[in-house]
Amino acid sequence: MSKFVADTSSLADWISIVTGPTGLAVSVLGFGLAIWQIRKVRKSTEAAASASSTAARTAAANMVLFLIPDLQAIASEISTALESGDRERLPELLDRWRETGIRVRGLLKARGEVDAAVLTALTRSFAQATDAKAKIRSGVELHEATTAFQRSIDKAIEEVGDLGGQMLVKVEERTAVES
Amino acid sequence: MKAERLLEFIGGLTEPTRTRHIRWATEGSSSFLLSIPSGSVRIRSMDGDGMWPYELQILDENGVSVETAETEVEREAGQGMTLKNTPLSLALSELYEAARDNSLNVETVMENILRDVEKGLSGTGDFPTSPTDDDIPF
Repeated sequence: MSKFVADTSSLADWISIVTGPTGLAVSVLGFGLAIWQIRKVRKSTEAAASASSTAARTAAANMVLFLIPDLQAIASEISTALESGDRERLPELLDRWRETGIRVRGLLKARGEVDAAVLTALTRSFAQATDAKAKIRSGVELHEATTAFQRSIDKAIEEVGDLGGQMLVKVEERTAVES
Repeated sequence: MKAERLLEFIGGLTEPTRTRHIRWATEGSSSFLLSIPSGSVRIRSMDGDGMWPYELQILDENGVSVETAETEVEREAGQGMTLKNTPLSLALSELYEAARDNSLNVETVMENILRDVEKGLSGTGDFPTSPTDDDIPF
């Protein structure tokens, strides 16, 4: 019995000696393979996420470009309403300016980094829209009520238009690269 | 809003306004607006004469008014009103003056005038410091 135990122990030692380094090598190899696969999957996930993010940013840029003429059209309607002294229509136009401007700002923020000057110009125009609306409702003369607001929308259109021009160039460059 | 928080807010605007770290815009002769991406602050002379009572209006980023504060006054029947010298009234006066100077660029205008005067007095300026032949002698 004791001899059998001694023989078995010796065999186990030999098996350990032979399989130990091999097993270790196989384990290391397997571990390396697992890490490689994880990295591969992560890279493809990151690439997909990046492509999705780029597509979202491009879509946001296109939407902004689409809304800029809307802002210009509202500004033009405000001028026409002022010239014709249309006190009833102006508050509605001021609200439309603010709603469209808020959408533009949201899209710009979704796009990523936005120049503070653009955001400030929009915020100022919203504050002055509120003031102009209150003045119109309290009976202040129309031009007096809207002078500061008109200055602020001119500035906002200038800033957004400038940014829109830059975005348009980027979209065109991207399209050229893709084609 | 708690008065302490409002005073803290006004104080937080007054110093950067004086040092021109922020820029106010004029909205007429007695109303001034500060706009930054997160919102706007308006301070105006309520009577439009550049004097107290002043009104402060805080607007969110969408232009919606979220808080207002006014100079505290005592209204007396038939005698108009008198200013109550409270911390809020003082803070609003200081902010109004600072915003006015900031938006009208008062300091720069004064410096430029003094610089031109100094140039003129030293004889190196564009305007004459002594009578010339072109001057009408009466």
